[in-house]
Amino acid sequence: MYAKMIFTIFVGTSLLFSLDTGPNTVVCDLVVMQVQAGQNNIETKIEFPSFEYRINLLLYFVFPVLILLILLILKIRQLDLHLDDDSRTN
Amino acid sequence: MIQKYFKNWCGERLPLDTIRNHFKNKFVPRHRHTIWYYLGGLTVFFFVIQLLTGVLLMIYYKPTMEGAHQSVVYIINEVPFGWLIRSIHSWAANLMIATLLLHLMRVFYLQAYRPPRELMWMSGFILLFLILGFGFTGYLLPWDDIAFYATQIGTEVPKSIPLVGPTLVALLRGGEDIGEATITRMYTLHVFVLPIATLLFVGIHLFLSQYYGASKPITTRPKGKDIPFYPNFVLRDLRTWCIALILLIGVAILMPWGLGEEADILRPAPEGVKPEWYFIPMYQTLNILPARILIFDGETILNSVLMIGGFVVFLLPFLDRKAKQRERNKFILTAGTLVILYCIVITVSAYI
Repeated sequence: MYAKMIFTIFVGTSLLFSLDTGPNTVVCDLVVMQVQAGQNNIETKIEFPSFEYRINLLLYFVFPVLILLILLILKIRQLDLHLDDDSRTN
Repeated sequence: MIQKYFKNWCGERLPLDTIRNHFKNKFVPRHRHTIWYYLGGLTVFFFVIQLLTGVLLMIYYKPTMEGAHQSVVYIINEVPFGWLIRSIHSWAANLMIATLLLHLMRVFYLQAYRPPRELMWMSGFILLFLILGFGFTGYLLPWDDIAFYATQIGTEVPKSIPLVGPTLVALLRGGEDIGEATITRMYTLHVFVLPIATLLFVGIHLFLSQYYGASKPITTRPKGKDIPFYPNFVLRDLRTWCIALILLIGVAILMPWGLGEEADILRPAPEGVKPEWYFIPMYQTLNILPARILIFDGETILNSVLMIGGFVVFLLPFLDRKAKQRERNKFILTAGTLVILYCIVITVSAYI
């Protein structure tokens, strides 16, 4: 049951990622760090995606994990109700 | 139908019933410190993340003086989600060390190292060194200036160890100075030697933890009946991992791990070069220690104290004389608390 649940959530998320092209269109402009590449004087810079893009990414990722977390908490609560009936006594 | 066939097929070839019975008969004590039992599993979770993200980074990383920094820039800028994978790798490394240290403290304070769990403590202590080794060897790999000078300081430390010191430094650096050979060595240690050794010891540690089960603290009262390991505790572990995953991805996305200027061996060391936070206690102690104490070199004294201290901690289960009486050993607990407080104070002072 758990395997099916996890599989469904992650396949669903992957499909969502593959279908959605929205965040990719955002120009990467937020963090730009100028880096001098040693003695060769080759200028290189590292660029991180924009804040907006990263927030979208975070939401896409966090959402399925949150669903999984809620399902787990519900299952744990359900199991805990029966804990005193069938677990080992000290 | 297929599921049943597969189950039967595996059941005929593997001792699945024995494993199932083992987990069904395993229980985790319930008391006010039960929450700390999640730290071990959390460390393994971060370690698995490290292995997965590390393999992805290996595909593009080049362990050469010319290629190292540029390949990291390429990973961040060009590789799809490369910046995220690297950020997760760096953040998870720090979180793994933090959870490992907390796990070690949990075992120490609940005195769970006592017989019959001596081998668990010893394998855990070896794992601590292996994980710190990951941190040390991985720090140089981006080949930026901070990493370069921090590694220079770090590899200088063993120099004062009597007899083997200079050989050890030459072995680590691959020569007198840090250069191409150092990157290759650090890379080999980081991606091959340390992972194999760590997997071996994690395997031993997990086997022992399954064999002995969770320890019950001597002075803590139980809070109801024990929790069945499967499915109750396994699900609780999964819940903790989900929370950890959300936090990890959150920090990795919102605070992506940066990269300094490319290392230049001819440039003077920039100000404020420090090793990673977990090496700060050693580094700061070295800074405040006088160069010479009586007839001895300050560094030699520090190395000797660290080696003896490490050996004492490693053999702690055999030195605890109150283990048989099942009493709290106040001397050991006080000494440990003082060492932990010293490490916290000196680490905080380095950042103020």
